Amino acid sequence: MPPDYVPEPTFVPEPPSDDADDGATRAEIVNRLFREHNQALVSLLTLQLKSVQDAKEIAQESYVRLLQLDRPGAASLLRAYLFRIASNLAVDRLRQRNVRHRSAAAVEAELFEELTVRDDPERRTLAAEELGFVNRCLEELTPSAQRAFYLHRVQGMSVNEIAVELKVTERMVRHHLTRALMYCQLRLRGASKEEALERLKR
Amino acid sequence: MTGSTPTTADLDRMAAAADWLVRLHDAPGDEALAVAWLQWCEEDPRNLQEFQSAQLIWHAANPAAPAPITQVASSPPRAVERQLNRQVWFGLAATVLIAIGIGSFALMRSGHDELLQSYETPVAGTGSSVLPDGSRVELGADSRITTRYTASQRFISVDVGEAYFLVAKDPGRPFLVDAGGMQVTAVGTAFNVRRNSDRVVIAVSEGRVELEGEQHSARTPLVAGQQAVYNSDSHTVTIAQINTMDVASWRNGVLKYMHEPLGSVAEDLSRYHHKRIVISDARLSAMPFTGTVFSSRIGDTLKALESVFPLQVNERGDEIELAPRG
Repeated sequence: MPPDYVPEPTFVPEPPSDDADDGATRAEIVNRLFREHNQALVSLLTLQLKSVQDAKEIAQESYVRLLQLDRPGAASLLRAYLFRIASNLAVDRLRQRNVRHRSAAAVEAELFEELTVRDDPERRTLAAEELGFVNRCLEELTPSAQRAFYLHRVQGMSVNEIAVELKVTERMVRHHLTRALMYCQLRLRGASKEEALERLKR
Repeated sequence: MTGSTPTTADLDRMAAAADWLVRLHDAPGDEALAVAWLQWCEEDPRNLQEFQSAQLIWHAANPAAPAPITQVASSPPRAVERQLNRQVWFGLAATVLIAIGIGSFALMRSGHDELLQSYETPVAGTGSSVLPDGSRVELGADSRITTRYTASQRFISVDVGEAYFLVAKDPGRPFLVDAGGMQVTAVGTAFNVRRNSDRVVIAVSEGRVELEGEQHSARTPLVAGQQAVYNSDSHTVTIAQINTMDVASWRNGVLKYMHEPLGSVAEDLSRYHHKRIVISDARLSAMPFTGTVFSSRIGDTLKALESVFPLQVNERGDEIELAPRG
């Protein structure tokens, strides 16, 4: 064996680098953002991702990215970055989900379960029987409100598309959707069918 | 509030929350809208609560198609088509799942020209070295590889931990990496191998490699931008797409995980932390984690996990236990 063939392991352990000088301040601001906005951020992300767990992960990841970001550390700017980072990550996650082949139906089914799991005192959940109650409440709405809600929630149509479909104004579609949600809220909080309708008349 | 009559202010808040929900759903990427919404949330803590209630109803609602209203035509073909397309898309792209047998493969014939060398790194320390053939290896923390070079083969075993290989081209002398149950063959390429107790993760950043189990029946190609996860319990390999930038981002202190069981993440983080991180609860250990961890901030990350997973961090002695909460 030629002598120059003998390997010379030249391992110099490289310890992980220390935090940057302003790392501590940055970390404090990010911590505060976390305390103040995490609930809102997770809510917003759940809308997009239809998964509480994914939303929590993306929120968490966003703080991590924010810590890493080489930008001026003004709190208001960081908040804007936080929401932008989260929104971009959510889009990535939706793409990844296509790659990972979680079907839309499977995602919905998971969400359905997540909604009843009380793992976080700050997160609102529903009792399993309330989930069914919501759908029965929706059946008490006027046919056009039902139709509008169905097209929006299940078919994923935009307000504009529904307006065209139902031959009404966008304003009317929004009114139907908002009232459908409010009606279920009121019914869930104990109002009878008549009481709920009465309150919505105001 | 249950049972009590809502005040006008309550109803206003309820209406505002529903309105925000509808608007945010209608324009998912609208940053200005999100900022305005956040402002509304900040005006009164009850606003976000009310919003979350509305959101809960939104997600819980899954109404069956109502009977079409008489004067209105049935759903437009466009909407139906979209729904269909989505299903077809998800259906077509089925998970690539290949069963590969396990077992270590035969040791190289021991010849006089054989060269045996071992490389290792301490906990929380990474390192790099040039191998005898000019290939370069970068080793993650708490990792060990053994190289066994002959005139006709370059054979490397990843014994523990993680290694990133930049392979020098030598078509006459294949570069073989054994990672416990999985063998990787490369010609000239760059790829990462991470070995945990129950899984091997192989990710390619340049060129291509071939994967092989004990039965040499099916060689599976893996190209740049792909990651294979071999599960040694189920003897299956799952292949997924990965950003090539993320293949060996650990070299910059950035540990990336994609849908990785928490137990495996904990095992991996332990290589970078002075305290071992353990999860004894099987359910918790199986929960999938996707995200980034900085190897220099593992303590913070563990704290943060408390808000993502139903777990609590218990520190005792030289161990950190992640235990189910409550």
